[in-house]
Amino acid sequence: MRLRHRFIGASAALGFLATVASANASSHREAPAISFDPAADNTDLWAWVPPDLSMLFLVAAYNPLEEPSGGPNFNKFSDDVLYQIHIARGDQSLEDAVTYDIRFTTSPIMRVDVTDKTAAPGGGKEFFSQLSGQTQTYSIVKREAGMAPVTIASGVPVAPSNIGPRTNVVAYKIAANGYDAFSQTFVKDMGAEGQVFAGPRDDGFYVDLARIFDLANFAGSITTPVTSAVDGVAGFNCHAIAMAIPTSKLTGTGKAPTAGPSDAQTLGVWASASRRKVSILRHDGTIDSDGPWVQVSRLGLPLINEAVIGLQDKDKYNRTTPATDVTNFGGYFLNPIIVRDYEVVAQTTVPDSLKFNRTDILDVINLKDIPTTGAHNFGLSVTGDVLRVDLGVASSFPNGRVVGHGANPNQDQADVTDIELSLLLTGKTSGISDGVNSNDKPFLTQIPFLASPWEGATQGHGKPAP
Amino acid sequence: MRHDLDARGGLRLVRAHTFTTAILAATASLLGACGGGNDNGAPVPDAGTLGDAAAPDAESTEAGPPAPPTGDGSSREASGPDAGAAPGSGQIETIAKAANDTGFTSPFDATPGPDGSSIYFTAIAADGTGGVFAAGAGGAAASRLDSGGVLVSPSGIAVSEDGKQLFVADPASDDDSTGAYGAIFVLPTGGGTPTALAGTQGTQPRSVVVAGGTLYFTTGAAAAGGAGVRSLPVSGGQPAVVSSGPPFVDPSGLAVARNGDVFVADAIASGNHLGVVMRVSGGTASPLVSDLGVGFPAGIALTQDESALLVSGIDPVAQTDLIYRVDLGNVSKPTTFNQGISSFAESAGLHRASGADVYAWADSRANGTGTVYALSK
Repeated sequence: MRLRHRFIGASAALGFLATVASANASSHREAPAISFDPAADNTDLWAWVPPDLSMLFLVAAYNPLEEPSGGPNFNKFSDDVLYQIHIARGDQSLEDAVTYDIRFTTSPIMRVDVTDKTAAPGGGKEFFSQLSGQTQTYSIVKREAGMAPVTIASGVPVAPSNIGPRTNVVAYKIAANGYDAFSQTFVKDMGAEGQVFAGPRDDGFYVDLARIFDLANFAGSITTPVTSAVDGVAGFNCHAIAMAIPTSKLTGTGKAPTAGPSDAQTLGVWASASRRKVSILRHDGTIDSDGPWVQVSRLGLPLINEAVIGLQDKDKYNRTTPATDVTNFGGYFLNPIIVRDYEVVAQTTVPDSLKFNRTDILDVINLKDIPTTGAHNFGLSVTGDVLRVDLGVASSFPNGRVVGHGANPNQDQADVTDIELSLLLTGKTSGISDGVNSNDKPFLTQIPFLASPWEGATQGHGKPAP
Repeated sequence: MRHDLDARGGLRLVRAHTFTTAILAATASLLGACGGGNDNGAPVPDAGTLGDAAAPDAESTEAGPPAPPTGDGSSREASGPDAGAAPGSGQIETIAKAANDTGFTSPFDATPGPDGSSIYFTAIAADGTGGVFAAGAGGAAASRLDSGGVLVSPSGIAVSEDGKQLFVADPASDDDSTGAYGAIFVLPTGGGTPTALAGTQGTQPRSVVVAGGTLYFTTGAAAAGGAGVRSLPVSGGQPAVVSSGPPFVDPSGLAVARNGDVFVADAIASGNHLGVVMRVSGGTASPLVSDLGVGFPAGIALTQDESALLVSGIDPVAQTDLIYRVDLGNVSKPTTFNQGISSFAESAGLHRASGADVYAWADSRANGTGTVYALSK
């Protein structure tokens, strides 16, 4: 959620469209139904290749606006959710060429006789979750079209919450200030399949939520002086799945990508979360989940469901896949509502060329002239909300979306909020900003890329008692 | 048609302290008409047709123009419920609306009576409890058959071969006094208060069929003994395990052949999370056909001549309704049929009449609140 300037625009759109449901960033609480289900709510997706084209780095974030001090049951991934990373390839289809299924498992709590006066600390008698001994692990199944699924990781521990110095010492057995280094030990090497990390992180998005959802009354807008922008995502965490995947595993040939732009080597990346269709809540506190998997959230490009899709279709958007986007939602892309709203809110006149038949937006999504004129030529049949990543070209948004790599350690390569707002409202890639241009923590230069999560004991959003 | 109800949360059936809780109504919400998983890797079976269907909204049951027999390779022709006729091969040419009114929403499962002249179905009743209904004749509203507000989430229904009793699988109607989760309930086809069939309490049954005086039902992974198929006499008794455990993951609808083989639609057993039709023969379950998109419940029926299976499906990509036809002589090439139903997206239960080649099928959101259809040649 590094949306900085670009997101401003997008956020503004969001403000108009999602006022009932939410107030968040790239895709935080962006649709009515998913706003009730944070553990399955995609918040952001980054995917990029570095200049040497050797790896695809990928971060899929979930669970919007985690309060660091939100104990005693700190935020987690849900064992009942199927988290997925989808990767389409080439110009023939938006169907998955490669899919990563990530499933989480929380260990059962050991029951303890509460009358046993000699029982040591731990187990189900505790109310401090970090003393219970309960842990969460995950597995990853990789599926490639036409091949049998392969489990590439299993039983991998999820990094625990950053609760505070006493927890570090007593529960995690590390130094009081040792969480950052400790969390880095949860990076799992998967051999030829790369590396993975899952756990809490600083939410890497930044945007002036408050102003944007006040009908886009943000600093930096045309009608408001640029003053005192506030990063509404600052100090909040998310739960992220980060992967580093050798690009040779994704080209379809088994070989490293060939340098230079091409449709054939361009991926379409998106992330999703699905739940079973039926849940039955039992009297003993358990839940039975039955029936087919139903997708409840997805995210490709930043801010699409948030700022482009109308309230009437946002939940449907989360249920559908990019392959049907043109059929289901093409009108929103071509005739962005935010532009018409902008005319009303800013009391300005916007030319029809910015309001209707915006094929220029599709051209940007499809990297038509990125990085060079005519570099790509994706047809309508393969147009949808996917993050395009050309494996033959070092990523630069909207060809991929990079965590960090900006002018400063806390800045992104591109402020997607500003870029998207500018594109939607002006047809250009700059010119409009929400005034929030950097993250509240420096990004990392290695997996998991997002900064270490804020600590509950000392960095929560509480205020000193009067 | 537009599906305005496609954007709800999951169906959450809350069991509180009494069967009559109204919490269900407040919390039940259907996962959307846009439905199902997000797997993009599943091959879509070759498009096919089971015949020309009349528009499902048509009040008339008049068939469209005759269609050439397709898909099943059978030379036998169905001739309706007439006794003595050659058994039908499941060619569907007419899809007629049987029930859609304000007395119910979200029909889960539907079955014709033995001769196909009547249709019984389960749904959420207007008062928020689980309900059992008989479709009205001549366009009349469906009539509610159950009383007492016993049912919560009646996901499966079957009728006895003599047409006198209904069996309703309800995995969410719990007996809080014993902690038994779900049961198969029995009530007369003429109506009455459902009572739990002895031996089925706590089995968390999902779908149910009757064949040769025996009741077969599916259970999920959370049930004692795990996911699979159980059987017991229609009069009750200790359920026997027909098959249990892998390859079953989420068994739903089922159909039983005259030789005792059981065909089960498992909602998510394929590697890409799509549906699989299992065949249980001699107690051993094995996948028969994979990568079918299915709804809830995943309805399945065996044609009267046992040449093919019809499966209530959802197109894995378009996420809209279709019916698969799996020719048992060529299971690798299911054909699909979606004429008149492709604007719907919540396909549900499917059964054949025990004595006729006619079918009942439900879509839980068709025409807004869900519709039950009669399918016939």
